[in-house]
Amino acid sequence: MSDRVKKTSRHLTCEHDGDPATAVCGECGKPLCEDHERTLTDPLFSQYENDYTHLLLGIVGFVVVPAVLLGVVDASLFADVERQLFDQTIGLHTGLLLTGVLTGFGGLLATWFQSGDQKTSARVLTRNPPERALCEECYQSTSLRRLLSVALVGLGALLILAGPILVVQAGNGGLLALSGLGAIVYYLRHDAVLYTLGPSNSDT
Amino acid sequence: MAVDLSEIRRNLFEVELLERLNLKFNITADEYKSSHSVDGKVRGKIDPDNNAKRDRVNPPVSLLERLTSANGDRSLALASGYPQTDLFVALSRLPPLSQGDEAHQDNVTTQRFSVEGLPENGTVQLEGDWSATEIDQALQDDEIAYVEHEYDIVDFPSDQLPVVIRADLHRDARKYIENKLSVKDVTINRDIEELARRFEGQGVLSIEIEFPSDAPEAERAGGTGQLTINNFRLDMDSTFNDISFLADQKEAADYTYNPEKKRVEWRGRSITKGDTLRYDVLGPVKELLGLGDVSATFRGQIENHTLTGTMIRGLYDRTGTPFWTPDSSTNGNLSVSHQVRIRGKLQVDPAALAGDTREVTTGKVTVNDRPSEAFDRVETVCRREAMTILSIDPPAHPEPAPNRDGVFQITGSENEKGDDQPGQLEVKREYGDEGVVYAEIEVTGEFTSMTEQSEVSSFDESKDRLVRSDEGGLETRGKSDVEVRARSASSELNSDLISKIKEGLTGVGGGRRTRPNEPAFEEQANKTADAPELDSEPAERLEDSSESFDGGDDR
Repeated sequence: MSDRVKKTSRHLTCEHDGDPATAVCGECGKPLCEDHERTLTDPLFSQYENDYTHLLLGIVGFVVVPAVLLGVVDASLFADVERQLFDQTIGLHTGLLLTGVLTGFGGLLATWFQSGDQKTSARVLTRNPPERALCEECYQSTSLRRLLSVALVGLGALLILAGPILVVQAGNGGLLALSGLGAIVYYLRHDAVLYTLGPSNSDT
Repeated sequence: MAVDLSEIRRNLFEVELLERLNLKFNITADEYKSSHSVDGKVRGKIDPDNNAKRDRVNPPVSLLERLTSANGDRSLALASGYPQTDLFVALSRLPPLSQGDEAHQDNVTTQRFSVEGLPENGTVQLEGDWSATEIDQALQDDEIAYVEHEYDIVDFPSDQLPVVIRADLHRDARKYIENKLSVKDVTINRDIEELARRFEGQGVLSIEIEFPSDAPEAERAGGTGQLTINNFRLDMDSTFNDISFLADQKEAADYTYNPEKKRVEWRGRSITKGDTLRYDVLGPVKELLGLGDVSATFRGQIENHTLTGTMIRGLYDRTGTPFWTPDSSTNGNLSVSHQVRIRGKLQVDPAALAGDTREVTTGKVTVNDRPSEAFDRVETVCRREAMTILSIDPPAHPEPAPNRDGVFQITGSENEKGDDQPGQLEVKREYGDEGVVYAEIEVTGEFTSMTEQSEVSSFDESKDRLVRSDEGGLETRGKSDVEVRARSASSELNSDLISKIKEGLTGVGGGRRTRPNEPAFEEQANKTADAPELDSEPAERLEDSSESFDGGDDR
């Protein structure tokens, strides 16, 4: 028995260079080594985890922030601060309130629930797209969803940043709500891709 | 709670590679043939858990999903891969041996076989999805599901089969039992002798299932499995009163005989590589011949073994990352196994076996040696030529030859007068797939007594005296005939065995008294097709025994 036979018999080997395979393509099943494996965080692939983050965010944004702004903190306090900073009132109170509500709304939209046999066994879940190993060809055919993901992340980031900047430049506190919109875009980016492309696993 | 794992990871508990071997074996008056077919499958066993049911009955919902799927389209929740029931089984197969491979004997030629529907290095995809009602039922009845991928093995060569089946009719049950069953353990051997005596004069119809150790594919695949025959059932057309069956040595009786149904069933037996399972029917030969058609069916398996050399190299879900590989046991509950399942069907007509024409070849070698020395040399040759010595009886009690002064003789066994006893050896030699040769070797001969010889030598006189003294006896110290009777299915094998013994005796690298310049032996070519008579003229034609002795010692 030669050494070569022993070696090839121990492992699945990569189709490209014969190295031991560390993964297979999640689409077509080809064996892949580390050098020839492409990783994709696939928004079209549903995987749910026990995770309260989005729900907490929703509660904070939707309930806690309005409660604090409307109940605990006096609106005149904001007016004082605004006058000191900008020499006029710009409605930052409303802007913060809107941002909080929008962010919270985004968090609630991104929260998943799964009911069980009993009401107490209901789960709060977060959908996290898993990382998948794909071969080069299968990876190439995912370009549209990758493009969409990147665009949505960019849009979200742009909106979040644009909020405070526009508030300062235009002197309108209500524009802070743009950050809230950005947060919604960011939280729902995977769902947006999925909704755009449909649940089938091919871009076309 | 392990909701984050894909369903197949959570619920898959066993993956096996099963290769099925169907054997058919027919020996009737009309035909003698064996055939086989091989196929295989990769099989996963899935046992759904409560979460699997929940994922289908109550899939995750979200506010957004509710808002967008008012028309009942659940596409957002149930996107691709949810709940991930696909299994990739990674397989690799060793390429078939080519003749150029080292470490294989020249006479092993390996045919190629082809496997259809299985990658040599790649994955097969198994879809393990359930419906909610199926899962519900499975949970209630504790059911599991099989996901399978089947494949075909075409042109699997018979010489790579992991088992060899033989059927034989032995006329001498006593000898059969002594030969086949004797073991090193003396206490068991005593029982066997008793058993052998009990069946003296009867015959044996034996069906053997051998698990040879030299299956090259198995060795390469690292197979160390053992063969288990679960259920060996023998159905006979007729039966007779004093029919008996042999049990496994270790068990008291591991068979059930039902005379009404004319059926014997042996229970499970296991052997390791190199061993043979035997199923024996004993009785008077005449009765055995009248049994009519005997058909046997059996089922068995070999663990940790594959015929094709295919091994499971990893299990993956749709994310492409392994959750089981041979090197790591990340999932302790998951078992991965390889197995060959064997089903056999035998049709044997004992009468056809009796007519089984065994070739018998005899050969004779004459050497100038005393019979006892010749016998020792034969024994040495046999051991050197990798023959198994089944029984050994050195020559004994020489008798004075009639009318020949100072000459003793040992005559053949058929000559019953006197109590001289020829040297007898029973050997067997295996020729791989070609067959086994059994041989009886008988050493007879005559010799001048040693004391006489030394007396003669002590005379401090001329050669003439010596020669004259020998003339009363023999030209040489002794002269022995070694007669070999070889039995096997082929006369070629017989001749080969005989010539091996002959070469060994007449000096190729052999006897101490061979003269290098003389031809080792002369072959008298009076061969017949079936029974070549391999007489040879002794090389050591010595004019003077004492002189040759000196020469021999110097070399």
